[in-house]
Amino acid sequence: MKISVAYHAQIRLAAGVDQDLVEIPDGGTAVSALRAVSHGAEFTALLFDEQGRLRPVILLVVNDVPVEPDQALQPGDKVAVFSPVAGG
Amino acid sequence: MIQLTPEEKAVYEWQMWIEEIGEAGQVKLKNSAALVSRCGGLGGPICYHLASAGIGTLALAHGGNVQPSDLNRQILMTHDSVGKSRMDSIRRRLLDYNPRLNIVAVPENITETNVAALVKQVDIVFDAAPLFQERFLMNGECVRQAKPMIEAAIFGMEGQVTTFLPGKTPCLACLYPETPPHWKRQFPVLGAVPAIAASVAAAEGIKVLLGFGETLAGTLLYFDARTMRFQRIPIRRRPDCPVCATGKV
Repeated sequence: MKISVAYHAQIRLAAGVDQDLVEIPDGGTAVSALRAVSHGAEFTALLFDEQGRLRPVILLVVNDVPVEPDQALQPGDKVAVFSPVAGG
Repeated sequence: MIQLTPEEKAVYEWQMWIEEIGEAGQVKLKNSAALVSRCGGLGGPICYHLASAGIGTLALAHGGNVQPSDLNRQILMTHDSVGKSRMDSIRRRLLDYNPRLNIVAVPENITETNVAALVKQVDIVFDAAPLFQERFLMNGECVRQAKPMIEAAIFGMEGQVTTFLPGKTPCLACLYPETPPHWKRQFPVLGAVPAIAASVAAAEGIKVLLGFGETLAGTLLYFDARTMRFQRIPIRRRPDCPVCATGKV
C-alpha cells in the first residue's frame, strides 16, 4: 500500500526532501514506513538509535493524530515525523 | 491588588475593550509575574508582548554578551550592544516599551541553582531556551511548583507552541522522554518565525493568567511558515513519566 511520509525540522533538513511516497506491505506500521526510506546516515541517526529502535523523542503522527511506532496503517495514510526542537 | 493609574488606563484603553480582559483583567495582569528564559529570538518578542500588554513583573534569565548573530531575530538586543551584556540591553529595551515594568534581571541562564527561586516568584513560565537542559529544568520545577509553562520552539521556518498545565496536561518530559541527542545549539532561523511562535506563546500566557479562551493545553500547535500551514496535534501524558506521573504532581 502507498503511504506518504512527511518530514519536519531537522529530519526534513537531513532528508533533503519534504516528503516521500513509499510502498509498504498491507498491515505495515508507522515505523515500517520510516524504515522503507533511505536518506543517509544523518537521517537514520536522527530517527533510530544504535539498536535500530525509533528514538523515543521522535513524534509520529498519522492523519494528525500521534501514534505509537507499531500503529497499523491503512492505504493512503499520511505519516508525519517530528524531531525535538528548542528555542532561539 | 494594585489598581491602574490614570496613565495605564489610557495606555491600555483599547486592550480593555477586549471583553474577556476589561479593567479587571488589566488589573490582574498588572499584578502578575512571569519568568521568561531565555530572552532571544523567541523570548525577546514574548517579553515585548507581555511588557506591552502591561504585565506587572518580568523575571528574566539570560546570560552572556550580545553577538552579531543575535541581531537577525533577538529584538531586545541592539547593534550598539554587541559585545556588551545581553541583560543590560534586554532591560533597557523593555523599559523603553513599558517604563512601569518591574524587572527581575538575572544575567545568567537557567541552572539547577537558580531555577527553583526564579519559578517561585512568578505565576507563569515561558520556556524559550535553546538548550534542552534548561528546558527540562524549568519543566521539572514548574511541575514541582504546579506553575503553568508555555513551551515555544522553532527550527528554520517551522515552529511549535503548547501549554503545559501541571497535573492536567503532558509535561515536556512526556513529549521528550530523554534529552534529544542530536539537537544543536546553533540552527537555521528567520526572525519572523520565532516572532510568530512568540506571539502565540504570549497570547497563550495572557489567556492562562486571565483565565479565558481555549488554550493549547494538551495540543501542540505546529506551523510551517514556508506554506503557512498550521496543524493542531493532540499530545498525551505518559503514565510512566518520571516528572509528572500521577502522584508526583
